[in-house]
Amino acid sequence: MTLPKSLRQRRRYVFFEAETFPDASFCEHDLRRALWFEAQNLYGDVTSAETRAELVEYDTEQGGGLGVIRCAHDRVDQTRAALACVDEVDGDRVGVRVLGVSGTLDAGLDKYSDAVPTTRATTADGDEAWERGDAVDVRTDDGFMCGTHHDYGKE
Amino acid sequence: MYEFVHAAPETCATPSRVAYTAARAGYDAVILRNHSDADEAEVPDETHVPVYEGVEVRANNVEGLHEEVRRYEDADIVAVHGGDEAINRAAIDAGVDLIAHPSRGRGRSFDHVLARKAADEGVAVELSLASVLRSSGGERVGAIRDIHELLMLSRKYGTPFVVSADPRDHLELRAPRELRAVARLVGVEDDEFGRATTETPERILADNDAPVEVVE
Repeated sequence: MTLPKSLRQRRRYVFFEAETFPDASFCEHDLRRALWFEAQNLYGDVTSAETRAELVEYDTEQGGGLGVIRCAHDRVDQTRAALACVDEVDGDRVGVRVLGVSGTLDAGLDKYSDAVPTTRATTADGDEAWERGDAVDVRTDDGFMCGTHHDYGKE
Repeated sequence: MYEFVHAAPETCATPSRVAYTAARAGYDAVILRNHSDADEAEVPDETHVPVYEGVEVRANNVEGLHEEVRRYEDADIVAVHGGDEAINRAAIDAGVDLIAHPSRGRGRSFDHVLARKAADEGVAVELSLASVLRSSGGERVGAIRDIHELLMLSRKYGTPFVVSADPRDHLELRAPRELRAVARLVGVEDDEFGRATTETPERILADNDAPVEVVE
């Protein structure tokens, strides 16, 4: 049912950056579920319903991506806390950082879509590596070693 | 704002990478606190935010703790891997800068006596949000209860405290405002949060010229 404009809930869009290891394979749907469960674990059903936090978009790339959560306009802080508690999605570890909050999706996309560095495949000391901004993730025998250009030098 | 972090060789992220992530998240500096039983971290000369080199002394007994604390006299901060009552007490006696997660262990390892003593000696305690952020269910409930107790003791006796996500690598680091939102949930007031993440770490870092007193 479509409510008249005056009765519609005001919303905020929380833009965040997610960082993972380059081999993480979860998709938007997995992250949405993870956020739901985290909000539910943290607040219970009643408050998480009031918060209305829901992932609307997650553009993923190897090693990270940009996500957007829609929530009630006066529950940004609670959304932040629930998001901060997401540390694993579908078995892949993830780090999240809020970039900013905006009142409309378009305004936020304009402002934050360039804030996340893109991934570039490269090599470091002969090993397979991925760089994002100044960060360099190098594949090792037992996973990844995560450094920066200060550790590996620019290639 | 400061965050107390772990980094390689203890974990998969180098100090420089943790500093880079911290810079992007909006921190002013990070304080490295690798455990004393790990190899020494290599911090490059240039990092995105300053990296202070501290240590988290992990000892099995009181003698071992005093020995390790003496060994790290020159570190920017000396923290102690808390959680055991005897270790917590010895840490206060040794006049270290910080007791990390003092109530992590079994039973009541940090109580009113230690809280008062820590306040007298100027030893800070860590209010670790690690379990709030990264566990769920019973473990998280227990951790939040411990935080409430620590907050109550700290307010009553004036024990300085720091708030940290206790990140083991760059993925566990959370930005200042996220940390504040979580801290608020567990009952930390905003002004306390400011003191815990800025003023108290600054005071600890400024104090590091004072020699660490070892009480036998």
